[in-house]
Amino acid sequence: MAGFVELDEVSLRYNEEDSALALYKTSFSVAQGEFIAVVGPSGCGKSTLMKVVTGLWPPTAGNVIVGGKPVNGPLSIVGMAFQSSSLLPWRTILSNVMLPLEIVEPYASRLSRDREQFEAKARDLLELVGLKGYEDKYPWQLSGGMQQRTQICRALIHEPSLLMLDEPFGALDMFTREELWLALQDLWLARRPTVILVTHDLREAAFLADRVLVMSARPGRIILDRKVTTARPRKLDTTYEPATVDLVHELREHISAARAKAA
Amino acid sequence: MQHAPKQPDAAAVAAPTEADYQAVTFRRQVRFFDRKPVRKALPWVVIIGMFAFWELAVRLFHIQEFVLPAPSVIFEQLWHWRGPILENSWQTLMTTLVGFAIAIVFGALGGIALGSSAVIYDGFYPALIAFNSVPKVAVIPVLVIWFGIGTVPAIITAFLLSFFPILVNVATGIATVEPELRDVLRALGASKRQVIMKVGLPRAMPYFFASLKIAMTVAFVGSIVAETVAANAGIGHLMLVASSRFEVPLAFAGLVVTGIMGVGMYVVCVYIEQRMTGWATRGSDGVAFGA
Repeated sequence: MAGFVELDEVSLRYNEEDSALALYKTSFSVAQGEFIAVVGPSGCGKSTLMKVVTGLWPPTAGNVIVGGKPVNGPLSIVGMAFQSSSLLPWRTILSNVMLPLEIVEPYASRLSRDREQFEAKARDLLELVGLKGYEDKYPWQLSGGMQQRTQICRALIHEPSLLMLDEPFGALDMFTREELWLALQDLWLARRPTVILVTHDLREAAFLADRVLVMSARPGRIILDRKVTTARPRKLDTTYEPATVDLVHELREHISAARAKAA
Repeated sequence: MQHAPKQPDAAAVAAPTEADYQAVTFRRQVRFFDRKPVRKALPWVVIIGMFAFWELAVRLFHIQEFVLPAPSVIFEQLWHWRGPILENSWQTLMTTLVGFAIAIVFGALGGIALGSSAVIYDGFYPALIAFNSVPKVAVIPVLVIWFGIGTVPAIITAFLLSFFPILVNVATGIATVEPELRDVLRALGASKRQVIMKVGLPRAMPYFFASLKIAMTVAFVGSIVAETVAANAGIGHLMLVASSRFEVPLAFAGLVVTGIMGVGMYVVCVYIEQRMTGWATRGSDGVAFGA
C-alpha cells in the first residue's frame, strides 16, 4: 500500500555552486495517521527533509508524493511548527493562532462570516495547551515555552492532515518539554493527523513516535527504520522502562556510528 | 553529632500572603534625573537655557542686531509681524504637507514593489540612486520653467526630497523579512500577495514610520528652499524679503517658526509611530510573564 507521504530517492543540493548534497537518495514512506520521528546527528539534513516534504524547496532529484499527488509547490494541507518561535510579533496570541484560517481554504472565504465560531475554536485549542487568559497578549510577553505552545496551536488550527514539527521543543527546559509531549500525544490521539517530527532528543522520539527514522551524517540518508511498539496512551514513566531505554540506546549507537563515519 | 544539612521547614516556605507582597517595596531611590516630570521638563530647560545663553552673549559682547539679533528682539518681531508670518507659515505648512503626502503614496508603493521583487529591485535601484544623488536645489530652475513661479515647484521639491527615504526604508523592511516568517505563510500555501500583505507590510511598518520622521524634516527643507528661489509666498519667501531689506530679526523669526513647525510635525509622526508600531518597541510598560 502506498503511504500518505512517499519519498522516492530524493536528493537535494541547495545551489548549483555548492557541490555538497544536503540529501542523497533518501526514500521512506509514512502511512496515513502515523507518527514518525526523524533523528540524526546535527547538520544531517533533517530540516532540509522538512522543507522538501512540505514543498518549500523542490528536490534536485527524485519524487515526493503527499496524499497521492506529487509535490511541486507549498502544500496547504500541512501544519508546520518550527524550532525557533516564528510567531508574528505584531499579532496577539489569538490572532497568531488564527493566521492559517485567513489563508487556507475553505476557512479563508468563510472567515468573515464565521469569525466567532473560528475564534471559539482557537480559544479552545489554546486552553488545551494551557494558554487560557493569554489570548490578547503579544508573543514577546510570553515565555519561550508558551510561544512554542502557541506555534503548535497555529499548526493545528486548520486541522491539517499532515503535521510537520521541526524541533518544536528544542529550546525548552525538560519539564516544559515533557508537559508538551503529553499535550501533543493527546492532540494526536484525538485527531490522528499524520505527523513527522524532527528532533535530536531521542527520548522524545521514543516517547512520541510509532516509528523512528535515523538519518546518517550529511548527505542525509535513512540508515535505520525502527518501530516503537509501546502501547498508547504512553505515560512519561514509560521512557524509563527497559524497552524504551534499550531503544534510546540503540538509536544512540547508530547516531554515534554515523557521526564517527562522517568524521 | 554530625551536622546534617538543615532541611527547609515546610511551614516556613509556605506561600507568601497578601501582606507579604505589600511589604515588598522599592528600596532603591529613584535618581533625580530619572524622575518622570524631570525627564519631561529637560528638553524645555535645554531650549530655554539656549535662548538665555544667546541673549546673554548678544548683550555682553554688544553684537549688532543685523549680525545676530537677540532672542528678545526676534520674539518681539515675531509678535509684531504675526499676521504675515502666520499667513506665510500656513502656506509653507500646506505646501510641505501636500509634497509629503505625495511622497508617502509613491514612496510606500515604490518601496513595496522594490522590496518584494528582486527583479524590480535590481532593475530600478541603480537608477534611483542616480536620481537621488542629483542635488534637488539644482532642479528648481527646471521646475520653474515647467510650472512657473509659485506653489507647484515648492510642492514638487518637498516631494522629491522626502520620497527617497520612505522608498528605501519600506523596501528594506519588506526585503529583510525573516525567512522563517515567510516560510510560515508559504507552508500554508499563501500567495505572494498574501505573504506581502500579512508579513511584509506589517514588518515594514516600523521602518516606514522611522522614515517618516526623516522625510518630514527634509520635506520642510525642500519647500522652504524652493520658496526662497521661486515663490511669492511662504516662510522661505518671507525670509528672503526680510534679509534683502536687512530686517535680520524678522528673518530669524522666520527661522524660529520653521523650527516650531518642523518639531511639531515630528512630534505628530512620533505619536503615530508609537500608536501603530508598539509591538516593535515592546510597548513602554513591557512586562514579561513567566510560565
